[in-house]
Amino acid sequence: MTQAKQTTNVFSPWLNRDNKPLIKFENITKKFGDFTAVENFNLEIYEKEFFALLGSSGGGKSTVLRMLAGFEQPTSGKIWLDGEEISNTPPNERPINMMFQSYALFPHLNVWDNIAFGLKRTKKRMASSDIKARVEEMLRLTQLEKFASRKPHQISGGQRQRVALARSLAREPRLLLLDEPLGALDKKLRQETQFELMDIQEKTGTTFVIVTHDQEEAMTMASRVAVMDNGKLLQVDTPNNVYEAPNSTYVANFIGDINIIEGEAKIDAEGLLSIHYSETAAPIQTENTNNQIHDGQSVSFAVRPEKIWIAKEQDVSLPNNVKGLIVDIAYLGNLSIYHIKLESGQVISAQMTNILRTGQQEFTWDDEVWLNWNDTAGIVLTR
Amino acid sequence: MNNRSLSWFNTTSLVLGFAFLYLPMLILIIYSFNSSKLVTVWAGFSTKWYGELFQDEQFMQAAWVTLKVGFFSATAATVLGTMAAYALVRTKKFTGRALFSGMIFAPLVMPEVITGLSLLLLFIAIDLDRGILTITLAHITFSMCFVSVVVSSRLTSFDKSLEEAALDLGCTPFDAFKSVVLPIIMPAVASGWLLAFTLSLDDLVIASFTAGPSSTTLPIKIYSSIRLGVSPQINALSTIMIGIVTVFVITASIISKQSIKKYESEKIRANL
Ligand SMILES: Nc1ncnc2c1ncn2[C@@H]1O[C@H](COP(=O)(O)OP(=O)(O)OP(=O)(O)O)[C@@H](O)[C@H]1O
Ligand SMILES: [Mg+2]
Repeated sequence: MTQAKQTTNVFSPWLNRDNKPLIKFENITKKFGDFTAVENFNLEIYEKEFFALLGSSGGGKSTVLRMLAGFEQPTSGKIWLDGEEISNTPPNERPINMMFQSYALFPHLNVWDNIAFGLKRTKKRMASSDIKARVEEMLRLTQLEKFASRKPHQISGGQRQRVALARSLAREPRLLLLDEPLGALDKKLRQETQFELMDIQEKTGTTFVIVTHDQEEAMTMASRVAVMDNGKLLQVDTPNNVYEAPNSTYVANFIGDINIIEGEAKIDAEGLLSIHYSETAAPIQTENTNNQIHDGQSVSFAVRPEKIWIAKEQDVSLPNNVKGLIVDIAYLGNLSIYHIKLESGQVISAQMTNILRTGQQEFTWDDEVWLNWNDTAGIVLTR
Repeated sequence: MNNRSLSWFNTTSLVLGFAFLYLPMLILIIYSFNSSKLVTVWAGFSTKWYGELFQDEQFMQAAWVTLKVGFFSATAATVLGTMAAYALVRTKKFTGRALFSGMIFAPLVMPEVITGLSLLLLFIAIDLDRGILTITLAHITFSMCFVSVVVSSRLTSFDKSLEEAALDLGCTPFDAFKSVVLPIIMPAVASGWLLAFTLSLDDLVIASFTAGPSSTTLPIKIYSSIRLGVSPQINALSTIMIGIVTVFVITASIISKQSIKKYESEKIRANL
């Protein structure tokens, strides 16, 4: 049994120190004039990963991708692919392909010729029968057989997106870069395409690096997520860890909703951690997972809305209970988000799944409620 | 904007303006079909001057020179002008870039007499016999600027990611230009060629500086025969030239308009 479990182990090559990364950024800095777009960037990406670069606008995501593709050269530092330095290799000599945000399909060529474009320019010349076979394989993979002879302006946005994907996959790159590939699609098509992309990534076994500023998209698709802000890498981890254990308030805020309460850490004689955030309210009891915290340090306590339990009564089985007043309710169908004003002034959001179908909510505006949460619900952040 | 009809004032100015522009040409065209030898007396419709024109050795010689010069200078100017435009629009900022682009466009406003004179001095200095070659070279220098203006205005709206995609898919920079950029900007290049050809066909001043005795172009021929008095043949010849130039200019503008329209609609569709 245990053996079977090991072989079906979740994909996590970054945990094994013996694994060689496919891509390695070593102290990469990129400046445009005086402006530093990417600063001291270190990152390793492994074969077959679906790696997402996430961050706010202007954070430097596209710049990182463009350095991988070869359109920009790093100002300092080195980029390695398979142990070979590629920092200054021109784009046409890298086994890397990119799918552009605007798709960048060649308007004068039809779908077939767009896909064949890169195949006609391989280092080792491909026989035309091989090119034909490969194009047809790509058309099948992306379900574009019917549109082979159409020009890019004669197909829909979603189809164009698939042509762009087929074209960039045709050369069997070691690494596929996708810069906001789904940005131009509507929500439904985007979700469908997300699954298609994951499917195709699995089928082809290609390593994907995707840029997005949609955190949900990153969480859905990626094996690991890197969060960037202002050219700096803040955190690299699995979607689950980034969500449950963000390392900074920026990351916590960026990925999903979170309540942040600022206060002072107190560590008692038994080593238990509590956060004092108001003179009148009882301190927050929380697990001390971060051993860096010392007594008296000012910290932020972060807790996700879905980890707070709203009740009419105080739930004494949980260590944290605070009284508050409901000031706002957002009904989202499957769940409702309540904004509760504590007596100490903070507004906390808490989330409840709508189990009943009647539309009748248990709580309403101006209700006095208790917020209860466990000492494992939140996380203490020092930056 | 619901009052779309022109006001009385606007109509008058339009009519006057167009009359001013086109009446002389219209008269010239009408008189080219005059059967009388006297230019100012109308004596009935006839196409005999056209027939005589084609019999005239000298005119045909001049026409041939003009076409050759037009073809070769337009072709060379298109190649050079496109290359210059591409270099100026695409290359990353280099020192003196503003100076270079200024210098490309300066000949547009340079008085033709000066261009012609300086070229003449150059040809004398390097001891180049004046003839078809010198006219062609002279025409290349000034029509190249026009081509590069037309092409660079298209290139500035060219989506750079298309080029990057080509490089990404294994093209060398030259291959990317040849296989992606050039086919897409072809309409602009073609209308640049037509423009250069028309300019060469039109030119009198620079051609008279740089032409040799054996290489008279049509404008020079027309100008010198006018000195001996206006002949109906000249009217016929001018009418043909007006026809050719009109066709070329209209074609060029249709080509560029259509490509702009197509480009816009593709851009709109792409953003859906
Ligand atoms: N060629 C350039 N010249 C000067 N500055 C640039 C250049 N390219 C990018 N920048 C700057 O570098 C910073 C990072 O840009 P980048 O495109 O990498 O951001 P991004 O994270 O992809 O943002 P978005 O989510 O908006 O696409 C931005 O402030 C941008 O203005
Ligand atoms: Mg970007």
